[in-house]
Amino acid sequence: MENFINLVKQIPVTERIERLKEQTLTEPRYLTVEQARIITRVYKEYSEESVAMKRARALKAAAEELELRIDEGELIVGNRSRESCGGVVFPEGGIKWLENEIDILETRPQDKFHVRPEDREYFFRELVPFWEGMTLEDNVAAALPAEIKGCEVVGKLNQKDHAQGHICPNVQEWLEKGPAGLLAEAREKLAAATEEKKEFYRSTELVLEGAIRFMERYAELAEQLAESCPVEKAEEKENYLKIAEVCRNLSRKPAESFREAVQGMWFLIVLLQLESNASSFTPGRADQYLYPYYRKDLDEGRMTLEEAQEILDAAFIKFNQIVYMRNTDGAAFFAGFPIGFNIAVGGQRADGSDAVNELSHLILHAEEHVRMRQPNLSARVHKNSPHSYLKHVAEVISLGTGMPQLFNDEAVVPALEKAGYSHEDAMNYAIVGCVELSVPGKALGFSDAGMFNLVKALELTLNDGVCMQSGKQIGLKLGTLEDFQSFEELEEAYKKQIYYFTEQMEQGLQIVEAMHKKYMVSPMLSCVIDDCMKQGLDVTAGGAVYNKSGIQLIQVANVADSLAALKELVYDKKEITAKELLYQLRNNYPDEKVRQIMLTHAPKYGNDVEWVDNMGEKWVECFKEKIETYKNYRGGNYTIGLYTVSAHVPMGIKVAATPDGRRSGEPLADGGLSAVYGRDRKGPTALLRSVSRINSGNAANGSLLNMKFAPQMFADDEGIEKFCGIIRGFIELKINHVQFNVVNKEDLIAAKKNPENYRHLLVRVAGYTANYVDLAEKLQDEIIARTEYGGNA
Amino acid sequence: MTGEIFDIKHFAVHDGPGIRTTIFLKGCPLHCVWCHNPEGMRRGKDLWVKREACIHCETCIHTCPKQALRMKDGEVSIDRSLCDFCNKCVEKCPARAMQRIDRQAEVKELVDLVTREEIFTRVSGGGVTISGGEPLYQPEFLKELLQGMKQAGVPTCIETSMFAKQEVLESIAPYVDQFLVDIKILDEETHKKYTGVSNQQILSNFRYLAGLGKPILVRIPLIPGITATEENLRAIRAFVDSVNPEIPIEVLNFNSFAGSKYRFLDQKYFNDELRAFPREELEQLRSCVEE
Repeated sequence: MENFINLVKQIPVTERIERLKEQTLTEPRYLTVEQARIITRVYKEYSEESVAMKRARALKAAAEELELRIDEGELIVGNRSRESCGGVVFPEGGIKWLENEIDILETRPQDKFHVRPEDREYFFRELVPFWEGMTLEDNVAAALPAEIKGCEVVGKLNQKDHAQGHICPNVQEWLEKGPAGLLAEAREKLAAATEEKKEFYRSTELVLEGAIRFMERYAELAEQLAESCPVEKAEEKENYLKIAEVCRNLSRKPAESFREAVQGMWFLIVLLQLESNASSFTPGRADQYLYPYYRKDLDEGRMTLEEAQEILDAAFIKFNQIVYMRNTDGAAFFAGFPIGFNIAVGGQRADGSDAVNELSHLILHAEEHVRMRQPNLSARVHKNSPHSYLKHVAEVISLGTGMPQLFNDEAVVPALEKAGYSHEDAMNYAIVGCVELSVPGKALGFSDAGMFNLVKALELTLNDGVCMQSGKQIGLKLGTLEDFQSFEELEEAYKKQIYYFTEQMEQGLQIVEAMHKKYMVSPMLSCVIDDCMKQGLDVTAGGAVYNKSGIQLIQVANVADSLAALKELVYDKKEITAKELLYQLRNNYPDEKVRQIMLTHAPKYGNDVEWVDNMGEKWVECFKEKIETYKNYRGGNYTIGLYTVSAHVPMGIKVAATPDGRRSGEPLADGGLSAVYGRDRKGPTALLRSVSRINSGNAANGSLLNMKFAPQMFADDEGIEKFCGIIRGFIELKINHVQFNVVNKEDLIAAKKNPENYRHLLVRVAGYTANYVDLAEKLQDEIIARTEYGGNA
Repeated sequence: MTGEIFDIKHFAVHDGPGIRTTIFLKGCPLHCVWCHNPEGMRRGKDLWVKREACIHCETCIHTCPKQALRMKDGEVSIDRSLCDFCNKCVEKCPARAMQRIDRQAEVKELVDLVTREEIFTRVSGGGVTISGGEPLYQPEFLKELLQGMKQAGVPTCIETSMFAKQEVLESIAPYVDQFLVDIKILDEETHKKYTGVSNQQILSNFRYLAGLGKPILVRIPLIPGITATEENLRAIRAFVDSVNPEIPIEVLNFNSFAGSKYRFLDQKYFNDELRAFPREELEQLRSCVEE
């Protein structure tokens, strides 16, 4: 394999790929209402039909009517709007935010979109009045009781205005059967179905017909382009004809060649995106399911290694041409379009043997070639991962794109088994979106159902349930810090508050998911998730084999640091009185000396101090015990995630000053299991030991750890080998996830000052990679402040 | 047994093979003008103010019973002749900017700290590095420390100027797996001028160590205008060749991070203008010691 890796690493990036990349990066982004027009027309025309039928018809119509485009030199084609990176308006989810913000889309600080006057006019004339009261957003808002809404500052409900996404379809089956094969199955099932199941199969029939037509239309367009191609462009013409052949084949039969398999995978992603306009439809373990096609073409001399590489490179670029348009607040904190097309390479097979193959290395090399935000590349590692693989992974990480991020089979597989996945399915896990764990083709994880702010709950515990920022009574009235005579009393009150907010949140989640079942019916997705077709049950109604809902706990590090400071400084050493500290917290530390004492006189999470780390673990366990008592709307269990993506910034804004010395409104710790930036002073090995004390077995929905290394660490082979030592240690410590920023602090500071010179500088934010200059200032500062390892100092 | 240390660094990746923990022993018989760890030079009690952490609240000044502290040019300054190390200022400093430098450490405690890193040292082929100051300056403690590490199965490395009696080296050599040795300046007079001591003992100890047949890496800190002359570097290479041409030499680029430490100690760095060598110059200097 080492010889093969060396061979692959010598494959240069082609001029075609460079050109397509540049074109993708520089094309202006536009808001588009093209699909919204189609959806609205269908909803009007079929107003008497069910939502399921309307959604199926709307998708089919979009597949048949949307204007298509093929760019010169493209090897992989397909998008959901004529514009690359179009800001798709998707009324079924919700458009309230856009009513207020359509006029600032061009000028807002992050993720700008141009708006054509005629689209704006249509938006207000047609879309706003027609969809009033009909969207998921409006219906969720109407259904949620005020008390639950009031509790959202702790138990935040997500997915209230768009489909959940975050799912890994059964790409393998999709390639093996093709839309035509699935359509035949759907028709067969429809013929035999009971009356109540008929609608489901009818809807899948419609969307599969649409899928076939979508592919045919690309074939037709490619043929037209070939025809109009001037004679001197023979190569270009040949490529168009090849595209036509690939697309037509895919519309009629299973994928046969490697190029068809990659194109088929991409078509599926585009179709799912068309259906739901959500984040994180995930290709999953592409090196595994694409391998047979690759091997066959290579062995039978139909494709060279260089051609395989270029096809993958071309697919990597396509992943950057679909973006998700967020509202201004969302864009500020999830800037740079983290759409989460997650590809996971490596890992193990079901029998425990290592799964790395030649394609794993070609995919890693595609990252070396393309270096864009997407796909979100993940590398699975385990205790028997080959050294040559880890080294290639380390070399790609050293390029500084923040990818691949690492997932540790030694931790993830047991966590998934504990959450109810079978051993075989757990061994086949993939990552959806940022760091959410799932099983390809079998699970609706509803990974981002909600976020539970443990730090806010602690603030309310210290202040008799009253928000220190607004003065509102939000939590239970159980007394203030001054009333708790011992640390144990404080903990008892904290537990009660957590239980209260969990109850409220859980009721809210039931309502949100019920609305998804009603308004976000997803027949296309149901075609590629087992056992929806078999059961005749939509994925939103519980048709998947596994039905989970994921809740993120925010944020272990601040909880551990705050409780450790309370215990040590208020109760044990009595360096400060409860009364004084409460006054300081309520008033955002008017006395800097007190803040410094809270910050520096008690030990902090991330420094290998066991009792402090356990303070974090304890409350994950507490939440878990409570949430385990519930079943979600689809009859499955809740899973816990220990990650924030970049929500540690907005969630921090809503938390008053905390006993760990954090000021009101400052960001919480980044990532999920990271130490609070700058507080891990004992180096990366101590940090990893601290993180390993937070039981990864409880984090079946994924966890996240950010680490930042100086580029000097990777200056020579010796440094890369030492970095592999960090990876091996991470594997042995059984931590779920880690990702690395490899960037100089000086460069980040310079990029903030002179963004125009650093347009291509990528950073790992939290489970996703973005262009640094696109980020909000707060997030930029937070990344600068993270502790850096492996430099000279 | 206890010894005097001033720092411990986990994940040391520039102090020998693999991922290591480096323990810094306090006190050094040399006084190199460019010293990067000025806080480790003297034996005995000492304290300093980490100025970037100081919030200028003057709590320390009001706390000190000896009036050894005062504000000078907007920063806290310590009169070390008045200080009796009662530690009151250290305990009261809200920001932990006032810190003791010296620490008495038990061998067992240090062995425990290092063995915590076992996973990382094992997978990377690392271990412990004893540095300083000058580790040979606390010979009994060093010997026990190395023995303790070996008993715990930790691969050992020392980083030394070799300025000690040969007996000291003899007594510890059996417990050292890898030597990182400094040869800074070959000319004796220049050596005296910049380090305060003659290099004759150092060179003779080098010959002795080379004869033991254990892995040795010679390291030369590149100090512009002092050690980093082509003449000096070639002379060191020639000397090492005369002992054993197989022994590798590494040059360490200059960095200016030490400057702030001198300010924390109320001292002045010998030259604040110096900068690291850019890549081409570094390569040129490196070529003088590599065959």
